[in-house]
Amino acid sequence: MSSEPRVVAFCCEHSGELAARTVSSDEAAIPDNVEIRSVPCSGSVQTIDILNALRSGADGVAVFGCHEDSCKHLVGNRRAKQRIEYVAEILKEIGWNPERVGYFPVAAVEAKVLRDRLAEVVDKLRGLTVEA
Amino acid sequence: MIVAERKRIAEIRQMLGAHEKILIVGCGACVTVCMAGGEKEAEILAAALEMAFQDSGKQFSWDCVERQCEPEFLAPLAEKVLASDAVLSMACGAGVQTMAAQYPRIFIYPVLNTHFIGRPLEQGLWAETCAGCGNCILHLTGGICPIARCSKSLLNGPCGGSVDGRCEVDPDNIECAWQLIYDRLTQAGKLHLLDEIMPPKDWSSSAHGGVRRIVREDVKL
Amino acid sequence: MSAISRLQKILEAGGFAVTAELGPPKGSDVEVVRRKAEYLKGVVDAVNVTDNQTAVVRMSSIAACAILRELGIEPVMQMVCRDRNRIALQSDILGAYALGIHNVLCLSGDHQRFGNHPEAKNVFDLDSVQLIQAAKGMRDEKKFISGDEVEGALSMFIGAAANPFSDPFEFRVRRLAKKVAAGAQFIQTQCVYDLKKFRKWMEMVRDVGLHERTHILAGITPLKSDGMARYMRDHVAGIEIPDELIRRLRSAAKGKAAAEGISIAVEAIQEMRDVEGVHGVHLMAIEWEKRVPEIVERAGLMSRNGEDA
Repeated sequence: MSSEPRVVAFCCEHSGELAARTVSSDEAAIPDNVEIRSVPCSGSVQTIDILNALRSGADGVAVFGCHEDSCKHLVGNRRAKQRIEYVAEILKEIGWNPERVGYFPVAAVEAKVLRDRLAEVVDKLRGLTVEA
Repeated sequence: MIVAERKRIAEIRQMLGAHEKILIVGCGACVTVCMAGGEKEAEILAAALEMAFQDSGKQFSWDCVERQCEPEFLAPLAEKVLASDAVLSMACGAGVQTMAAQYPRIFIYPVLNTHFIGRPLEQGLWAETCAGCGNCILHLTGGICPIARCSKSLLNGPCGGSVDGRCEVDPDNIECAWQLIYDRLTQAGKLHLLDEIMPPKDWSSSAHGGVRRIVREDVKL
Repeated sequence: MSAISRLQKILEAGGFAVTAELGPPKGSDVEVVRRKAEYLKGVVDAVNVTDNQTAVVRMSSIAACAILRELGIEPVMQMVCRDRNRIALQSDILGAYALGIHNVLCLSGDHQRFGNHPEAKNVFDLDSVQLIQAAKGMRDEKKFISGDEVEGALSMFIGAAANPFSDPFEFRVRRLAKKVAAGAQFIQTQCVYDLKKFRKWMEMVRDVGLHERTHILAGITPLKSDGMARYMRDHVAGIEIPDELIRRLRSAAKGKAAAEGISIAVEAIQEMRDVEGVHGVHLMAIEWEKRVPEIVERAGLMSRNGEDA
């Protein structure tokens, strides 16, 4: 492993993505090892999308969606959270560390929260070995 | 529909043994509806197993057919199946057996545990509804089956273990079928049906009577 | 002429019957049966032997009943529908009669999930109502369920269980009526603690004249402690225990809770005797059979029906 752990961050365009834009236009830009992927709703992120991200080289996957009760699509964020838990279970069963994936609620204006969560994720991934 | 559930991945891993080229086949019928073995689930399993066996030499591919219990739908898979060491079938027991009959020299493994004939109560929750007894009496019990839904298959229920409409065998998860029947018949003004003693059931038409088959002479050539 | 059960004679003569329950051992030791039976002989009119109760494997009811018979005690063979199909059940009714067992209590049976072999396949070929009907058909029409003739004599006093406290409450009496229509000549109820609710149930029973078509014996289980009472209330389906009784047990002096439990049982029996339609009591003092003589004595029921063995 050459450098920083690679993270794919699925960001809901109503919350996560907006927060990300604020971050990247700010002095602390989104680091190179984090790839932001915009999605119409965190609930549109499928289990296979998360697994495929991990299979193609991501060390971790984060899904940023709206806070409880704020989802524009009503329950999309709840589905996303549950799906992350489902993927975590699969990871456990195949001997991978379930903490490689996580769901994080964030509001459009919470640029700092997004930045902090991303930093925590990267930090945690640094501490993990490849198949632990 | 038939309701099944995927086995734990640990159990599936055990089945793989020394096989190297593994084909996962989903089914587009019942197991798609109960989210156990459809196209989505086949793709997910293939991805998960690939991740589990990274750098092991095992190769995983996947496909899905309309209905795995009919040979006509399995025929187009021939090339892929014959090029594999093993097939993980994501169908119900009927589909797995059809696959095994079609390709007797290939190892076919069941990835699902087939459970029951049932229906969804809400998304993500399926309950047993029909026992396939071969002699339906739903018109006598307000459309609620006591064979499948009463833990003791009583025909003159309820027993003394019915409390607050729940079955004492598992009150959190099982409703007392006879409470449901009582309520439904009361609603329909047909409670008198329960005053009749239902005689002993003829189980010979059920699985107890021997391995069953159904024939339509008008359709067979 | 077919022999008639002693329990039947007592009830049909208008007597107040007292029956008790005996749980066979989880083994083959006849001594265990003998020891428990000693407490009950001459004290009660008949003794029920449970049939793999709560789906725990024990010596078979028919065997233990045969042992009781040898000891000069009138047995009531309990038969559940969980473990045997109609072939075995009808066969055991024949066998029971041949061994001198003349009382049979027909039950559905606890689901095997409660027992020590939860992985077992269950049977439930018949339910309790159908079993009652089958026994009656064998006795009165001399026919098996299949329609074949029953050879030889067969006389059975047929009983069933009733639970006044399970649901749906409004339907309970109608279901009892079904059991009586099927042929249940005596009924033993689940243990009663809430006398008020029991009286209400008996009123409903009398309203449809069932008390005249069958003999109801009220179930009594003496409580040993407030812990036992709370456990039963919370974990056994269909058992309701009024807070008053739990309070009495809890506030009893140290080491005196059991005695209080016995007193509660005695009071209940005395109350039962005054309820119209109650023709006896069924004492289920499981693993506490030695206290049965005391309960019967204090309730004033000793030597009520003569001492014929």
